[in-house]
Amino acid sequence: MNSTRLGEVLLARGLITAEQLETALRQQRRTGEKLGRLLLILGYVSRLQLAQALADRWRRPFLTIAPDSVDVAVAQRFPLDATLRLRAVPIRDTGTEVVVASAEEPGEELHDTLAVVYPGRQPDIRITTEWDIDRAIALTHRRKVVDTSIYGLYFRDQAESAFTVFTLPQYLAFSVACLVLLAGLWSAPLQTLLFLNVPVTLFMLAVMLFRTYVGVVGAGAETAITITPGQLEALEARELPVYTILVPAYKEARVIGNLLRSLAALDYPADKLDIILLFEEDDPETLAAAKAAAPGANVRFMVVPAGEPQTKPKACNVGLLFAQGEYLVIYDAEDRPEPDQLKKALLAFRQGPRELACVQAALNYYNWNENFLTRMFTLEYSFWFDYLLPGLDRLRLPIPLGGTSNHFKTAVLRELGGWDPFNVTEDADLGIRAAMHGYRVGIVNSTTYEEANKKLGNWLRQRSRWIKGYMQTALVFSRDPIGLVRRAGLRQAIGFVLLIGGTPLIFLMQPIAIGLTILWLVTRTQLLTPLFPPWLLYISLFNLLFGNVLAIYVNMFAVFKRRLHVLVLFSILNPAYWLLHSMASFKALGQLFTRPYYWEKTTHGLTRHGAAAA
Amino acid sequence: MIRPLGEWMRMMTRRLLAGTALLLVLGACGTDTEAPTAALPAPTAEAMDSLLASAAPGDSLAPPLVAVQPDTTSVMALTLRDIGRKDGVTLTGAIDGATITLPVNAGLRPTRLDLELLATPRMPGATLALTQGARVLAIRALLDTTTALSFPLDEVQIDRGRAPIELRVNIPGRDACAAPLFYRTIIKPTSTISYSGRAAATGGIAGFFQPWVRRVTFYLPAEPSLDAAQVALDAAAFVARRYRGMSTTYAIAALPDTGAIPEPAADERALVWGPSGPTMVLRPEGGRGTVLAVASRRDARQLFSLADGPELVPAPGFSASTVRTGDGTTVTARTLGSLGNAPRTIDGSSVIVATYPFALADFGHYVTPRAFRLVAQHSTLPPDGNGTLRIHLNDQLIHSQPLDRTQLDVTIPLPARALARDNRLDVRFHVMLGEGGCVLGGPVFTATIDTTSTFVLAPTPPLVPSFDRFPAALVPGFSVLLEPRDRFRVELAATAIGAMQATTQTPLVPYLVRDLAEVRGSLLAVGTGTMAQALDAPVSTDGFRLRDLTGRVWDEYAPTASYGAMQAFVRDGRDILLLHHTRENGQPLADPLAESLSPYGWFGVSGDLALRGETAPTTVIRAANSGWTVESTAGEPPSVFAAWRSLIFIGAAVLLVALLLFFYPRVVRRELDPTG
Repeated sequence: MNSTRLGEVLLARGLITAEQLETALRQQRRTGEKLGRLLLILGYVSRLQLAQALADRWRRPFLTIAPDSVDVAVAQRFPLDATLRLRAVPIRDTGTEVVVASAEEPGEELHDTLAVVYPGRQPDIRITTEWDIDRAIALTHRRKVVDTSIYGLYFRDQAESAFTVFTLPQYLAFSVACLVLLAGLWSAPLQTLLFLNVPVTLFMLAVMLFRTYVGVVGAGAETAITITPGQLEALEARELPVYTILVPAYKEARVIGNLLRSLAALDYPADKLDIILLFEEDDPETLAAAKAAAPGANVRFMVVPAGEPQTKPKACNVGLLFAQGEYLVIYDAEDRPEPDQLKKALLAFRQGPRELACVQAALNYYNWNENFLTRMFTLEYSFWFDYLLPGLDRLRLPIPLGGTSNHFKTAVLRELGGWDPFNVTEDADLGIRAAMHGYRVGIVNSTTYEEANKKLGNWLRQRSRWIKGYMQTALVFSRDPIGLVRRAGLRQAIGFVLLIGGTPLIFLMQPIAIGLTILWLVTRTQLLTPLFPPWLLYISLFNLLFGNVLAIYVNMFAVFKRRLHVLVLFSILNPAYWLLHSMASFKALGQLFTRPYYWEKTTHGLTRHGAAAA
Repeated sequence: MIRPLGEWMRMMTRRLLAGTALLLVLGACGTDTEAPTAALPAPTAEAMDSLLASAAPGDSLAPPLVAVQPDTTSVMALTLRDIGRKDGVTLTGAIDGATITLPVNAGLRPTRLDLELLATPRMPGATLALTQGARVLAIRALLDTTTALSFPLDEVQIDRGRAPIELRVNIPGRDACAAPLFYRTIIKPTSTISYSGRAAATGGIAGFFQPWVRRVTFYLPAEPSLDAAQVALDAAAFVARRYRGMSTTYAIAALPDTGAIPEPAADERALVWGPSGPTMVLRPEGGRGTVLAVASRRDARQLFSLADGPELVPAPGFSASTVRTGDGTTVTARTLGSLGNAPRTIDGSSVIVATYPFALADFGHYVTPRAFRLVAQHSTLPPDGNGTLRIHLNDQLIHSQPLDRTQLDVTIPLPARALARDNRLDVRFHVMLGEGGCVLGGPVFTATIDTTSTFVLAPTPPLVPSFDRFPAALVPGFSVLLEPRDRFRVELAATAIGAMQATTQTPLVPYLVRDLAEVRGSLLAVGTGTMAQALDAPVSTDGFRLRDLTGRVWDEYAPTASYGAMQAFVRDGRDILLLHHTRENGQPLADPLAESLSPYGWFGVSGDLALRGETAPTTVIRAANSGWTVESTAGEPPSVFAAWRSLIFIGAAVLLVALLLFFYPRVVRRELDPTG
């Protein structure tokens, strides 16, 4: 057997002991993984030693790729997808033969592809390490990688990309509406404002009733897919597929070490984990911090080529190109997923329908009791992930994904075009896009704990980005309303409009409604009377009073699932918290025009819980 | 099918020619002066010529045509609400009765009374009797579960279109004294009276206004003449007075431009100003005679202002009489009888009540009742019994005294603070009849309140200037000024007059005047901002600001905004009720009147200022005497925004377009990043 031979080679070279070999073989019998990868993961050999041993075994010369030894023009002739799939990079063309570096045993497909791309050249295939291959790809296909990660979705389907914020018809409609509004305010201000007030009030009523209804439905559903401990125990390690974990990390030097420790604690065979840490070129600190944490051999470092926009989804798209797992999950650098989450997600995929493309784990905060903001954030997340998303799932409505802990079938994710790097809530956008393509998103009973923002400025930056992303998503999927209804169905389209479109609108309108109410309470002016005929006044009051009370109420019972009863009273402070949302919304609205895909970076590692939790 | 009155047409053609010739000689002679006291001549050709000569601008010389419509009225049925019992009838205690006067139009006969009832739960089995005078027409068992009872009315006797009947309940119980506290038999206003027969066609004026009509419509051109408008207002007061409390409605409708007036159904009536002919009922062949053409103000005044105008004259002509609406003498007392009350005998075992509603308008202008002299006789109290007389004015106890003799003649001061525009005086006897007095069949206390009981009057201003002063301020006659004089304003004035007339028995007699110089007495004015300014009304400018007691701006109307207002105020000692609107749109004026009158009519109108913008609902406030101030904003320098409004909007539009152009390449036509 090949494996025996690899072991013998390594034994003969004195690189491993017989006991180490026996341990690796025992592991191999359990998980079915390749021996070389097992020895690497177990730390018995280095990548260089393993590659040299494999070169011996495959009777090929070993090669170390130096950057100046690669003829970029030659390499670029070889298609990127073939390079990624075959893990081989042509580095030189001598005229008679083409020198190829490979990290895998050369097979027929490699030979056939080389014959097509470099006709008349004899292939001279040499073995190198995986890292050398990744570095060579980054060097030779930099432009292609950048293009694919940035414009992949746009070139695939412009209508689904937020690269264009407004389509021409949208912009024309918006412009005409603005001008008509201005003309109306000039000629008949009261009637115009009344005309404006009616649809806005009715829409706010619909949004409020919708969210309440979905929350109530969600309250009756623990989670859509519940995985029991028995099911987890029954999982055979050999059956487990390779799972890619993408971790986009930018300016996260303070927390990257914690994340690596959390990932190491995952209850999943390390040899079946393909962990890709994605760094930006202008962030050597985080890369250095990651290296200092000395992660296992199943962790790959990948530096994302620079290029605008410098967003998390762009980094994720780069990671997706290199991902080798059958399934894929995204974690943020400050995340602490529950150890059994990957297995639960895997079982959820297996139990779910074929069209289940993504499984979302719940998010919550480990530093929930740090200050007012973290408490309110926790309340909000508890309602969102424990009530609203399960409710949407139960009602078969589109689910906007959370920013992290979304588990995908890698092939489906590639089919959907990956993330939209121009959308600053690429997660929500992807969830809606999946629904538009007939896929479903499920919710699994596992939680990832994150760090809640404790500083107002940081919170506002993060929240304005989310709301701007919702605006982008609403604009993207409303470009073709008829198509939206046809593809997703009327009910889903209405759900999308009320949730994605309604959320920013509610926050934008909230301060206006409160302001008018305060104005009336203080001055008792009758100037507002024409704007609120009795029937509309009752609806507005219902929205303001009952809507707020209802939202507070559902927030109150949101904490019960998490047993954070001490937060119940904080629900009453929600109106103040929503005013912060409104501030963020106006900032988001401005940025939608001025810096549509600017990624407002959220700083992590500010919590005093960080060290303790780590 | 349209059938002109052939005969009437021929006659009118002949007289039109004669009238035209006369006009050439005499010229147009106005007849807007006070109605002559001489006898109205018989409708001869000469008289008709004279009437023709009175035609004023806005009057059509063409005779009114009537289009006969098929009568869709089937079996007639009225509810108690229709005939004035808006709240139904409540019978209190073990033995009580109520008289209901059924209107019976000519050709009809009441056949059945279907009562909808609410009996007292757990009451013993009782009876409900229908009587007329001394005759018992029917008796029905009344259980606490009974919700409906039917009585035949075939035997009811009708006197001049009216059939008074009495419903009397009798609940056996051991304690008749306590019964009033427990037993209530409520007859709902939705109870119905069914009639058989077919309404007789109207032949003459005397029978034109039947005891009950559903609707009276006055057809007017868009810009009616002074005479036509005057007659329409007279008719409004008349209809409200004649059908007081009933559901009869009065409407002003547009005179068809070319077509004929559609003949109303048998239970409706139409009026039309037709100076080109005699006052007469227009009845085309096959028609019902439900259209009355009024030919002159004199006829109208006789028809609509005298207490029994239509009944005074035999069809088809008139017996003339003088119209006198007030002789200027000061009245110092009004008896209950003169206010339309009959002697009333009440009996019972514990609490016996006689209620007398009255309005200040019943007494005249600037006159208030200062005391009430009660003249009554009552039965003797047994040696072990005792009793008290209590007088309540608008639910306030104003007098109490023990009963000792059988004769009562007591004068009770009426405190001014308790008086309102519409009042209710309760004469209550609280008696304890002693041993056996509370047993059914035992002795009862009986009292008869004499109609010589009197309200003693004093010439004092009744109430502070406000809507409450009306309609008292309009008695005995008042001026009406319309500016401009069009159908819309006639309709508003008619609505106001009708609503106010419904609150009093005193006839309201409007005098339509041409301009302010002609105004005599109190004034009802309907017009525009110009009129409001001419009258120096509290709210008269295009823009104004209303401040409350604390100085806070409660409401503000910009000079450019349209609004309608109804306000009551006094200028130069004259009470003025003004309805006016600004700008072109008169609807904001129609709305505050309609909304103020809904649902209780003039009874529900209070305050002194009703305001309505184009979109906001009507608000009614008491501005005068309450510290409110009205500030005109018309003369104020406009705010910066108002002064530069157009420029600001143009600037905003330019800025908006610039921004849209600026953002276009950033959010729509973006270029791919060449470095990507």
